[in-house]
Amino acid sequence: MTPRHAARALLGLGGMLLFAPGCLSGARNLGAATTPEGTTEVGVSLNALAFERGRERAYLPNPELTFRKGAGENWDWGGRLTLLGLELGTRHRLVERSPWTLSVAPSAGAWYVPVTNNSTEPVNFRLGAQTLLDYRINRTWTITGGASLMGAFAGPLTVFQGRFNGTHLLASPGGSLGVAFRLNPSLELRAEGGLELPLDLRDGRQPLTGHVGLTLRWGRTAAR
Amino acid sequence: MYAMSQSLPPDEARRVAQRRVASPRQTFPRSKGPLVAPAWALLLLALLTACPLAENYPDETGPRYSGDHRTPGAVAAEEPSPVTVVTFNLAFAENVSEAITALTRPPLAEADVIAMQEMDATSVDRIARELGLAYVYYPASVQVDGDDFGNALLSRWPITADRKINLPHDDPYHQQHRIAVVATLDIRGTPVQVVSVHNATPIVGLSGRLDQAETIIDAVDGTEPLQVIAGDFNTSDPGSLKQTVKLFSERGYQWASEGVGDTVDSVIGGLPLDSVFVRGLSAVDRGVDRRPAGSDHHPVWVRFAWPP
Repeated sequence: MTPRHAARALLGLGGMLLFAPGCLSGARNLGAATTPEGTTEVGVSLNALAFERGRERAYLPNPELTFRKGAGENWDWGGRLTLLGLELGTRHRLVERSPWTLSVAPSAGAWYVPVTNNSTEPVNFRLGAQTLLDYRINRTWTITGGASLMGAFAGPLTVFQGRFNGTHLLASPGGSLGVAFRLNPSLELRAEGGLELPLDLRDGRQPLTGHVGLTLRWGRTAAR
Repeated sequence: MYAMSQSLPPDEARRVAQRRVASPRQTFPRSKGPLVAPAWALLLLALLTACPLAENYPDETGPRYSGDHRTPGAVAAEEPSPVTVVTFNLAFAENVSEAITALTRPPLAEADVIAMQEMDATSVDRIARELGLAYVYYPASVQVDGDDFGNALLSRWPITADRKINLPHDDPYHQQHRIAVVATLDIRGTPVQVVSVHNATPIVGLSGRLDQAETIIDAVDGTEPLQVIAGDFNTSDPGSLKQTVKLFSERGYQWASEGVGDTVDSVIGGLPLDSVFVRGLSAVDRGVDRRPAGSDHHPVWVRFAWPP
């Protein structure tokens, strides 16, 4: 590989990263256990996304920053920040029956994707919820299953001018499976993989998207 | 000989059509805090909505421009051997004189067919007149400077039929429309169908650009046994050229310009945007003329054995 080729590869990779379609990512990297009140958690995730590009499958890294803040005894709020998007939501613990925990996490997000593909347009909004079920194996290991249903709007920039030609409305059911390992009381490592099946309300089923990734999450309790 | 099926629309009218009313100036209090975020949001919204919408020509029948500047009887006695096809995106048709110089020197001189993109009617007519060619031109849209923006085919051989193909997937920023132009040439009694293509930029995803290529293939499929599809396929993003070639191969076309290399010099290096695909003809030589020709694109040429 010549220096010119290397530079081009680097620029190409940078460009692809810039255009990373975070809106395709269903990765939330969450467990069902809510963040305790007074505690703030921040995390960094590195996900690999699988999606259709052109007529072939493509894979992209998708780094994300996540945070959660305990807001009450059974709920917290937080979000994830991707390269060109932000998703915010809450998480509500519905059932706590050791070793099981069941939560629901509604969320809303907005993404800007410069380069479009399939049902992706520059302006992307997602609104929906994920149901999370934790099974604690012991003090350090937890398995999490998730099921989600997201509604999505994808449209060209001209939607801001009232022209909606080329917009897509999608419903995306999905599922995920994760495993968390508690390194110490304030540090957790989580691995998660998942799939989403976007259904375009006009054009029908779209190619499956998937994610797999690792999240390192650190929690800090505010001094009283 | 010269004939136009429609006179050139006045530039002034197009400028008026493009004019945008400036947003009234807004002032914000100097206080900071919670008001800062809404101010930034308003600025962002203003920037987003400032994207002007393209003025498109979606009508399949026109506008259409054609002319014939060939010397009567000039090619009637000739038997072409080989047939040379050139594709050239002339970057908003701004440097026509340089393009004419390039098209009159080897290896582009005496080309039998020239597929051009980003053209306006005046420039196409001037090139055809100076090179002694027949032509057909369809604009796809109007540029922000008021000039038309479209595809042309120029030929040493009679153009017996032509049409415009509307391509799907307008660009998501300005909703600019893209087209292909098809012409049937009569080369010594043998019909050859040639298409001048200008696909969308990578702003439209690869799926959209493959849809555009497939729309062209579907439109000409089965119409003539000899076909040349040439133009700017905008295959700059990784993997896009490979998938485009695969699509054409699956539909029975050969990549006649295979191996010519990059056709555009850009700040990130050379890019292989322009290609020639063919069905029923055999390429015997091909290349890119990288000398200055008045565009960021370099003309691509392919010579085909004749008779086929």
